[in-house]
Amino acid sequence: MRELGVQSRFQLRERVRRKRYPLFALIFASAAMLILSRPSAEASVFEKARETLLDAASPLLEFFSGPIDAVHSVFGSISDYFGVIEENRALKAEIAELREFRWQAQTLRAEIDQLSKIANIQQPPQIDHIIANVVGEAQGPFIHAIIVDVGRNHSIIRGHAVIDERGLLGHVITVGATSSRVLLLSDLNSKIPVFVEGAELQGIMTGDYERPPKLEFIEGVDLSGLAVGQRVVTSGRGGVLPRGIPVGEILGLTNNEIRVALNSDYHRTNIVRVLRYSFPNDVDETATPALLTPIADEPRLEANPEAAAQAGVSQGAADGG
Amino acid sequence: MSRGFSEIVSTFAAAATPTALGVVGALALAAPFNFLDGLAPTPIFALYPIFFWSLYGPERMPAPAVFGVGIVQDLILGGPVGLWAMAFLLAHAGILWQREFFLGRSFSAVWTGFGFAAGFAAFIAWICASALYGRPLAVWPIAFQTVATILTYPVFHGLVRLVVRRAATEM
Repeated sequence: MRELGVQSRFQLRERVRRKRYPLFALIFASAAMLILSRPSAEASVFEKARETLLDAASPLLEFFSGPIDAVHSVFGSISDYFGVIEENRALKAEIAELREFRWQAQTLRAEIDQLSKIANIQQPPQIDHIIANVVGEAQGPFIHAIIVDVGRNHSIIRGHAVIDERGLLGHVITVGATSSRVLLLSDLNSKIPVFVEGAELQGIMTGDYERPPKLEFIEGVDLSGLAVGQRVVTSGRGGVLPRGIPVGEILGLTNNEIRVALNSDYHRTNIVRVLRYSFPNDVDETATPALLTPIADEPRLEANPEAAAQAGVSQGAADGG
Repeated sequence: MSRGFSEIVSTFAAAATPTALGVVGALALAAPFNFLDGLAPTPIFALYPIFFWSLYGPERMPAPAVFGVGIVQDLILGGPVGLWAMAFLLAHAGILWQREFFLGRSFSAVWTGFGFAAGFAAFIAWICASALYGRPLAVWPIAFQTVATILTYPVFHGLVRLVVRRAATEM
């Protein structure tokens, strides 16, 4: 009897021990996967799995986001209730200001087009956009990303910029067939080449988790021109994001750190625009650099009669003055 | 014949429900809830079924199921893969280790146990994420999310117990 008791206890312990093996094996597997995904969220070996799950989960996320949107639209956001009159006044002032800017922009656009024709400058690639709904949002504490309901089927590719009505939100990092994941500017993996207007400086804006993103410049660059409130826009360097998209403004210059207050606010964004564009990648390095040809080159003006006529008018006006 | 088939289906459904709830919980973490304009964090829903069944029915929430739920959460959030899988598995191991202590205790004791398990999982996730990014990350986002998870657990616990009791009465 006693022997039997000892044997059954031994068997029970053995059974428990055997049950532990898969647990330990899976903990080791998790650790191995963590090490493999170490380089960054963008260069992960698990990208295909992410894309597949994103597509599979997209209908479920849309199912979840339906009632959530309905609740949000019925109750509105809390701050809207408290600031509706103030917001209305600010919006009217902003509309008036924007009308003025639109008029100036149209005039400048026309002048730029005219001068570009005369100088035969190659225009930057056209940027097309597609409107997308935010169907998901990474609610984890270590990643800042949103999921939108457009993907490969809508000609979205990795790197496309995503904006809301205020400015840049982030860029696409995972593309499924019908949905994509957008890495937000506040994420630790986000690094965006930017340009500070006023200071005329190029830098890199890095996400810093829950704190505003920080600006980094090449060592030795004179930062004396930087000031709080200067506009930060994308620089277009690196061939990822188009230049000139508003990002934010300089928030502070304390403790050798330069922080940026972002224009966009993903918590209050349900609809975004994905900018579809492609950088020219067919540069023939052996070709003669056409853009270096002098502007007053006669044969080229003849080749473009309209531009030649415009140049003649400008020249005449200049002579007359 | 048909009774046998329905029994098989119901047995399979009963066995698959905990894992399915875990997967739905992991996916729900990516839904744009935005409680209080993003001020209130979204609870880590997947921890509810993992804790509940690790305690009351570990054969229905085995380690591979916990691992799968963790991987789904990692993939849908877009973060490092293995992070939540590791956190959930270690929490699962902790619950199994202390299972005998919590079984048969009052709900407040079980809730405290859930608090420890959630805190432990969050701590593991924070350690792993900090190690991956090479610096200690801010603690308060994960701390707030853990508190939200602990505070809302009784809703899940109550609902599941209600469903289980009803099912038992019908049988």
